[in-house]
Amino acid sequence: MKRSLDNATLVPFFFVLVLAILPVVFLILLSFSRGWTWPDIFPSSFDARAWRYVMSPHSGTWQSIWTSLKLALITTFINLFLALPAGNALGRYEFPFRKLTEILLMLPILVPPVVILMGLHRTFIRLSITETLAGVVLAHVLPTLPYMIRSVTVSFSKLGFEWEEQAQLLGADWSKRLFHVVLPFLMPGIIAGSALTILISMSQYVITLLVGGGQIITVTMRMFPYVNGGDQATGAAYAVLFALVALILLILLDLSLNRLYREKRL
Amino acid sequence: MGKNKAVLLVLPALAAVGILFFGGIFHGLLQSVGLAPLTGDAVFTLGNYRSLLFSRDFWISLSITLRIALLSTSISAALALFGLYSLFLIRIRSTRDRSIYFQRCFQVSMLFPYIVAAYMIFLMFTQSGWIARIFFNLGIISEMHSFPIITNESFGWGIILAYVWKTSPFIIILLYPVVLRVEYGWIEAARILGAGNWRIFLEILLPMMKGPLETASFIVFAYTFGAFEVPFILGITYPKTLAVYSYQIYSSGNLADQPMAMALNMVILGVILLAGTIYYHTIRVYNGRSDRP
Repeated sequence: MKRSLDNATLVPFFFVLVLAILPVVFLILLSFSRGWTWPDIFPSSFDARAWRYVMSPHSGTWQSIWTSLKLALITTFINLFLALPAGNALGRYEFPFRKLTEILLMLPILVPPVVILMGLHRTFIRLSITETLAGVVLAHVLPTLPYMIRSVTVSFSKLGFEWEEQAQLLGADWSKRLFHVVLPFLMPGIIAGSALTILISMSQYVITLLVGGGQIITVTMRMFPYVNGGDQATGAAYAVLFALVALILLILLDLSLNRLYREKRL
Repeated sequence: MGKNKAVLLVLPALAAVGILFFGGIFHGLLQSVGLAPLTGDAVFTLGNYRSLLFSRDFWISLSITLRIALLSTSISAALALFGLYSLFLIRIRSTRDRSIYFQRCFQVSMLFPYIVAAYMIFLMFTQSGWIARIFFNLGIISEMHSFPIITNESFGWGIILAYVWKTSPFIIILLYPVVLRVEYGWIEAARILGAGNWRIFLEILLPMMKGPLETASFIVFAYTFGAFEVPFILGITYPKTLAVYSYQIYSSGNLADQPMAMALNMVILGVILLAGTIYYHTIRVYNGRSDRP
């Protein structure tokens, strides 16, 4: 039987793809549009007004990108620090209440963080961590940590103990075992967990507003007034810029971590 | 020794989740029953819950929130299954499996925050939006006002559309490993028995996807039931979804109202807990397992 991707095979795929991508195409068009009135399907003329504003120093965009990056990266490091030991235990050890522990650690996925953080808000105020980066980092750890734990747990369960034992038998010391055996196994999980942490952290609006008290301005905070009834082209430009920053960050993460472990494996 | 070591290893993560998650729930609960007042003595009261119970606004809000979450979850799951069917076709029709690259194309919406999803849906589906313009130019509608009101209306169609756009790729990610498990041999066997692609998908893949599909749907339901951003942008002033209702009471500036917001939050948690119990029970009773994707 001939096995090739003919057009009939791809029809369902393109149907779903159009639903996924059409809104993005529309946003890109809108961000470059100028005077787009009813009933035109395409803008009558294009210009870069919205982009010029978004990229200009006085719009505060660059500062907000920097704040988003700082938040996302610090949150990722804290998550790794908490999740690597936990993933090791959950993925490779048997201990009492292991299943229950796993469920408890996953629970924050199920509850929108704003519901929890309203309850913590007074405590945060008492500790004077509202309106600080530290407070917002804690707020961002809440919805992201379960994803990091889940990702590295899967990697640890694939690693098991046998590979390390064999390496030890062959005379590898701990650093060789770590860099040549353990890390290569864990890297896909670390990358997946970090990618999710970065995406979720950068996307947060209401918890950043609640805990940051309007003092910690991320890209999402910066764009909010525009997407909520402000200038449409500017809102669209911010949305596209957000996706670009996230995409670049994910590609860099993938490249750097993958290269790191490929080099170590040599 | 191994056991103690394992317990030590999970302790930091458990402490973090304990303090942030359970601490937040516990303190919210205390505030909702008057045991953590800002000023004055702590007096236990169920007054906040009682006034919710007798509030018409609350019940309307609860029912629209439930409807939005249930519809978003089912439509999102149906679309995700169709997406998975398309990936399944690609996998079985090509000699070198390239479905993983096609799968990545579906993940575009993961790059955008929920507020952007809401914004896109607003711009596309509002009465003067892109879809209305396309309909007008095709002659399907004759004027702007003939286009149905989908955004910022009381049913919540706009909210549902935004959630479907954002959550269906998530379901696809969780279920895609099942598509990868399909062996070409099965397909050939099924073909010989006279089954078409669609029947193979329904009768072989769908049963394999049942477990992860239930898990994914439950996560999507819980999220869409309690989330704030999308209904805040695409909703209307009355009736509000529960999370918007609660946040607006909380941030209204009147400190005396805050325990009421906490009570609403506890109701949101209660519904998610109830849904979780039903989910867990269904899996236990009907499948005799409790696996995850």
